[in-house]
Amino acid sequence: MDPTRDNPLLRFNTFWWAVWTFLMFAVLLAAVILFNRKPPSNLEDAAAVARYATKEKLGVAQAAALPAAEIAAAIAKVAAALPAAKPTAVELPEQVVPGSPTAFKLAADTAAPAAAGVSAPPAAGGKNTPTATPPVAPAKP
Amino acid sequence: MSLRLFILGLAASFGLAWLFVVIVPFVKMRNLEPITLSKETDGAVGIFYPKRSGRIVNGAKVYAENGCYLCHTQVVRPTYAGNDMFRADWAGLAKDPERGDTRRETNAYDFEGETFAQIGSSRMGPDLSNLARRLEAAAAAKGGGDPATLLYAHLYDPRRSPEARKATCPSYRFLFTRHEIKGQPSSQALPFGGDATTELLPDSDAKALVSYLLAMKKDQPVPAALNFAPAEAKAAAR
Amino acid sequence: MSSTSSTAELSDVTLRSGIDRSLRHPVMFFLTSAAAWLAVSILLAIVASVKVHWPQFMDDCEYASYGRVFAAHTNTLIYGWGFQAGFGVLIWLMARMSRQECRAAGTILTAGHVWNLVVSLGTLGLLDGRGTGMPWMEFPAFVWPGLLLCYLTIVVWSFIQFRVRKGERTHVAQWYLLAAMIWFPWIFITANGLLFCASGHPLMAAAINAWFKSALMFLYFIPIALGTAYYLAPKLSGRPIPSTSLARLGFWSLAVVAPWAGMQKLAGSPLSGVFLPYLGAAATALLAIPLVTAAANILRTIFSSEEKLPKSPALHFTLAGLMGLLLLAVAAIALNLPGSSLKLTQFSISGYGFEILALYGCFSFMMFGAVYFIVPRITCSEWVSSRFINMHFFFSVYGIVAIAFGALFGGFIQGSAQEAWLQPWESVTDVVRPYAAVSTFAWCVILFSNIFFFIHLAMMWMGLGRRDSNPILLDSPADMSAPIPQPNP
Repeated sequence: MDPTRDNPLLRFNTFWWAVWTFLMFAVLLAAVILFNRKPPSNLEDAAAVARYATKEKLGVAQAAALPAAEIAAAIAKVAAALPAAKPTAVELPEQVVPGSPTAFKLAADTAAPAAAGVSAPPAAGGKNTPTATPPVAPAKP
Repeated sequence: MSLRLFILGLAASFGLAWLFVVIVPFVKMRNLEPITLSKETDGAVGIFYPKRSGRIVNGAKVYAENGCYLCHTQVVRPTYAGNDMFRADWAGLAKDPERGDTRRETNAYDFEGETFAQIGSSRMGPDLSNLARRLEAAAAAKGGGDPATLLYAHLYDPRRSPEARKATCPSYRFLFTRHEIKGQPSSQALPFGGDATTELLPDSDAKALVSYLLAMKKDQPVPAALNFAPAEAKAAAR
Repeated sequence: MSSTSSTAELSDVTLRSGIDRSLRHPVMFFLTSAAAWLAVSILLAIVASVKVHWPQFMDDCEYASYGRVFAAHTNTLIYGWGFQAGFGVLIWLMARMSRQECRAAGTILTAGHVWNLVVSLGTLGLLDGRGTGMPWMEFPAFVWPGLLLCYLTIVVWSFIQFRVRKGERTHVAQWYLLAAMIWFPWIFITANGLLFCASGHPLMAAAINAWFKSALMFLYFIPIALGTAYYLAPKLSGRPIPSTSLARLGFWSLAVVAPWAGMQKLAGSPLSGVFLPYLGAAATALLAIPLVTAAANILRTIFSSEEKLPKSPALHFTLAGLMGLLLLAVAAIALNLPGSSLKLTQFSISGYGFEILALYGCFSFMMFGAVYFIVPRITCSEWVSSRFINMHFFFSVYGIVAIAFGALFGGFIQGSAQEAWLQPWESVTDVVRPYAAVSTFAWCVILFSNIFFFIHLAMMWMGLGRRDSNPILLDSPADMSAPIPQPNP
């Protein structure tokens, strides 16, 4: 009965009130869904927790048994000692290849000083003459 | 009563139920805590995880698309809600050679991996919760056949065997394809449906569905928290 | 004095005919389109029902596989026939009761066509094997936003019309129709949002789906049916509604009880809230209160005096719908007693019987009544053949009684067979077979009845109605000479 009741403004207003009324629970639902974005709990992930814990423990134990810093320091020390422990070259008559020119030279040298009886200077040192240093045992495998 | 009050009344009466029947249970159940096993009561450590192997996701999709849930259910109800536990091989095996009585109700962890639990709306056909157990027993009874072949045979033509001539299950022939044998028969060819020159092969949908159905074994041992067997049965199991 | 009242009456008549004219195209579109979907749905129902007792029928057609055809039947019944018939009736009733012409006929018509397109695509997708596997939500996932948008576009104008209506008092029918309009988006968005746009536990997804099925029936279809009946009963009998307080009780008890119902379908399932299914069962049983209250109120309206009532088709169908409503109330209690019948009927065909009783035995009959009332007014012509209407009426009633009783009783027997665990499973399927045959026959009878409806409606749509100011009555021609009491318009 009220003629001013129906007017375009009221209709426009009511349109938006209607939209809000219809979508009221959609908005609430959207809020609920947004607050529950993390994936639902599943058993695979729960079972994985124990596996990851074991992996953690292993990692810690391995880290304790093989500390990286100490290993690095040890490597430096060993590297420094290694050249000192390098064995010197040894020359023995058994190492000379028979039939090679060095073998003939050696045979000539041993024969000559014995015949002349002169204290000839020892043959120019070379790799063929045995030296006085004692042989070093080869490193244990 | 003004329109505003009316809508408020509707929102309040609806919203209360919406909150307590839909929203709160939904949120609580999506954060369902797994049950931790303890050595004393359950004889094992870790969590209760009835793991299923098979193509659960793909198979469940084929199951849903073909309306299997309209005639089959996947729930074994507790005895106060129905007699499912007593029906032969529905809830598990009553006389398993290794474990004795393996029967149990369905629990919330049995649907792991699916997005929609196909509880089902009516039982024209039997419940499928422990279908794989029944198929294995049937295959063993037939002299060591493959349960998958039995299932393929059922899907291809449910009324094939004389004892199932009145079965209501629709035929899912469209999930299979008949191929010409080129050279050697395929290793996946089924022992039925073919002839001298053709062989029958399951499509990927059939394979997914069968893989899903062969994972239907919901009679794993349950922790004490989920064990509702009567005391004598629990004592006997121990 | 009399001249002013007759002028007022004349202007009211002019207003009403203006409203009818403005709504002619949208309403006729919805009603004819709904009728077409009803035909499709009944055909699918027949195919599905045949396959239960004769599985070899159309065995090699992938698209006619039972799982797809049955799902297509229920979804086309709801979204094709149910919603569109509801739209046609809703927008006409709201416009008439608000005394407002429809200014958005074009928009509504467009939205209606889009609705048809979306439902068609959904049905084809479903038959092609792309269904979602969620009962009553089986259309592929792209469908529901389209339906929601069309829905809002169609009904928002009725909301506005109500707001700007002339006069402060509201009619009971308006409460029910307005409430149904508002409830539907709430339940539709909740269910589809949680099932398609959020991830949760699979069991809760199934539970929310079950809640949606019940809410759609009792918070949308039944309120529209009740609103229609509350409107038609005083119109057709010329008598007022006897008790507004009873009407108020009936309405608010429905609003309070119905949202809690639905989850009884998951009784015995390992939901975290073990009480939820039993809460649903209790709520469904309690629904008898609003249903019986409303039915009693409306029946008292119709039969409140000793005078003989004119046998209008709308009244016959409304009475049939009210009988369906009372049967529904009885079934709601009988099927949901937790200790006894819930176990038996939970996984039986009684669920389907209950749903068909609600959707067809109550809602559809009320819609037929409304159609027989509304169409003459918007086409300015009368129905042609009372025989057609009688055929439609009687065969529909026979068919629905057969399906409802068959499925409800058959479900109990099926459930008892299921519970007899020592018997082999074959005994259960054997028990259902006769009821499936009855159901097939009943759907054929219903299809037969609706053929008369379709032909008649098409004739009215094509302008072939009778040009007569006397409304059609379902009496023999001899009675038509008796003076017809004109109800207050």
